[in-house]
Amino acid sequence: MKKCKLLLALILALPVIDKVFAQQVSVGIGLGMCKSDMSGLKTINQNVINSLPFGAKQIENFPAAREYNLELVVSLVNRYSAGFYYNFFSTGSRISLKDYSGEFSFDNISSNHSFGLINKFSVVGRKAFLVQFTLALGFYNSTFKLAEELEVYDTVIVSDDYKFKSQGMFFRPGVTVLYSFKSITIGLYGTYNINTHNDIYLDDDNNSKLTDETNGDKIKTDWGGFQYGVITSINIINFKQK
Amino acid sequence: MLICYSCEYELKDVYYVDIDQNVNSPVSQIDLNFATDTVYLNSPSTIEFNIHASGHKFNWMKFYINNINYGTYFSNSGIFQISPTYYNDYKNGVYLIKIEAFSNSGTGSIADVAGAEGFLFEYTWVMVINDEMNLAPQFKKISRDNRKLSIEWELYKGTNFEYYEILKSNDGNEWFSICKIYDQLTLNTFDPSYIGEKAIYRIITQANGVLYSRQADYQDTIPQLRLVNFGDKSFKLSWKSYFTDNIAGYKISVAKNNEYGYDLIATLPASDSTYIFQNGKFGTESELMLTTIPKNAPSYFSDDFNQKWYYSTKCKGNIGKKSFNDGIVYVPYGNRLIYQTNNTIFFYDYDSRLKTDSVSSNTNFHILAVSPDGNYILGYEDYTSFFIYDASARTWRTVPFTQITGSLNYYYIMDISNTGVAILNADKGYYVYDFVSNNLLASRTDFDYIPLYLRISADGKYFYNGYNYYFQIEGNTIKQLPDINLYFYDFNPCNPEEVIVYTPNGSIQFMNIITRSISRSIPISSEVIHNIDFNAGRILGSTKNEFKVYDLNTGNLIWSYPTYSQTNFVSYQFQLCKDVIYWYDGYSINIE
Repeated sequence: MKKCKLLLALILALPVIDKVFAQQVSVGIGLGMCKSDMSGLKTINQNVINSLPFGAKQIENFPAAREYNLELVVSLVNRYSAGFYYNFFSTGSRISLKDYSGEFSFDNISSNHSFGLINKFSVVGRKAFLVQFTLALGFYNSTFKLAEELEVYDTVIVSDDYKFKSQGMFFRPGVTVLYSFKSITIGLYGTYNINTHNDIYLDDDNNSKLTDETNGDKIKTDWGGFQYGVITSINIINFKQK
Repeated sequence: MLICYSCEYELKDVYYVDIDQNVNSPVSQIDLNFATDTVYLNSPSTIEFNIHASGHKFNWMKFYINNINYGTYFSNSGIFQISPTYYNDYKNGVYLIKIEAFSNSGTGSIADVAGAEGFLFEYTWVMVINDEMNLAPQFKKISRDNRKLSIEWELYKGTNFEYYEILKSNDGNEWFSICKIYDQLTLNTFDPSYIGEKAIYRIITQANGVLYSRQADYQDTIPQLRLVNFGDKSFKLSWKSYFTDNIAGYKISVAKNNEYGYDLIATLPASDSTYIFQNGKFGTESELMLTTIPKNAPSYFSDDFNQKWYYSTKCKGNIGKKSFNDGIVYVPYGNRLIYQTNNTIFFYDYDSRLKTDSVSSNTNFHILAVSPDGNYILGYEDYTSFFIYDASARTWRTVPFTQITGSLNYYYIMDISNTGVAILNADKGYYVYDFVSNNLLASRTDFDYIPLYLRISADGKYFYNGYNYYFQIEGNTIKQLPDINLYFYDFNPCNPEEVIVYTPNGSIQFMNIITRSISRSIPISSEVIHNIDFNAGRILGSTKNEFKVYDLNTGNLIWSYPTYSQTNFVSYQFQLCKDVIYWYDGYSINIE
């Protein structure tokens, strides 16, 4: 935590370093694919499969899924810009079996909201192209919807829904390649998400934590993984100092 | 937020498995701690059940009494405790037990695994509760079965059967275990030790820790010894066994004559059913015993005495050829003998071995004497008269007792001479009566003893009373002669003046009754002289264990044969006629 605070202070001090620059305010949105480890929740799924008396199958296991980014960035000094950052990502898993007599499913839809600051460092610029190192950091708020349902001959035998949550901090370094055309910039990005592995609580009961029944270990959030996608931004304010 | 929700990950796929839901209905089998459609209880008991159906898993079982569910079991087995009235639980009566069992279907589907799909089995029984009921199985049938003894019993109808035990006893005291059977449905066995004897069987049923006992008597037939004469010197013994599979063999024994017990004479295999007993003793009753030896005798029959007692049969018989029905045989001098059967006198030629003549009377008569030449036959009839039959004249006359003594005295000892003169005895009186002239010649009543028997000489002048006393008849007086301290055989029928006396294991002497001179002396080694056949020139004598026939002229031993006699007195039971010995029982034996 101390390291994160020090990094934040360093970024905020960057505008003072370069006194001559063209200030711009841009709004960007990104759409990409995100792949997360979800190691703890995968353990839960495996335990469920192992405990089932019939041959259900893991047909989805937190695959790469779409993520959505939103950022408001101000170029504070030459080659450095910073701003607000928001990311939404959702993926899921399903254990399933269906036959003539009924259906069983164990679903998990995991969603994550990340918000914080983003820092961009321009390292290479040629004409309209620009390469930037990015670093986003802040807080995340995750939700996990677990649903188990067993239906036999049109009779629901089991129908349980549980909602869990978890909060923590994240750190997402990355690289962006941009092309500017007038006030519009488009580009590609690639990042790697790192987050603090925190406990997962029942939504309405902070004392109830998600645990591995086989060994009693607490299940932790694990959004770690690569992201890639397309980003586009538009300069909404363009003014000069000096 | 709505945007976020709309962007949530969507799970779409399902994993569908195509399962064949058409499976064959399994065959179920239920194991119970009772074996009947109707279970009987008389004490606190448990109903235990366990169901199988070709490997199918059972989701639940339900136990009902009179359609009321008293228990649900989530497995394939269960146990239910029931106590009858006496124990303040279920009243005496008849109940319906029902067990429902629901198995999985075996398809492997979700419903199958979840216990929502399967086969329902239903079993029902009748339960009878009566706390005074006797659950002991009784014997149903004990019978011959293909050379063995089959034992059948009723099924034990209660719960928690442990075993049946079949026991056997012959006296009710010692018991022998035939078998223990742990299968409740096995209801018969064979007794490998049984050969037909009287036996007591007991069935013990162990169940619920309690011993139930019943017993039954059974007696069949041990091999019965039968005896028939085989020739004139042997018996043919025969027997039949109904349990030959259980028999090891037979022993043939003959009773000892002079002490208790039997002498073993043969041991035979189980396959034998006849035996020829040769050279049996003549002139005495023979007792033979067949002892059957079982293959598997009960342990308490280890000693020979018990086996003889339970496994033996006896039979008696007389060696010889049956010639007459019965009666004393009289052998006068000549070639024919005389005997009486019922109300007929028979004359039997022993050369031709044919009956040559007979005479019958409708009175109740008995022969008591025959003259030495066989012409006169004397006896009494109707206990009131003498009868005399003249064989040559074929005349039958009667003389009332009163005609001789003036009273109805009973005359039971007498003898008659060739002349028709007879010596009679009534009480202590001696009467000499001439049946030809119907004249009482002499009498004497001053003796103080009754004669043992009476013999008169062929000429009617001398008689003997069995006590070594000899008498001479002179005119109308009876004169006692000096004693002769030798054993008396008889007067010589060929010489009326001679008396035949002998010394046991010494000699026979022909002695003149007046002068006491001896005309002949023949050495013999017999204790008793039975008979002298003057025609054939043979003497029949015997020791205690042997008949002996001597040549009358030389004294040589001609023939001997086993017998047994307890007396050394002359009894006139045996008569030698040429080459045949006749016994008063009618049996005869050839001396060849």
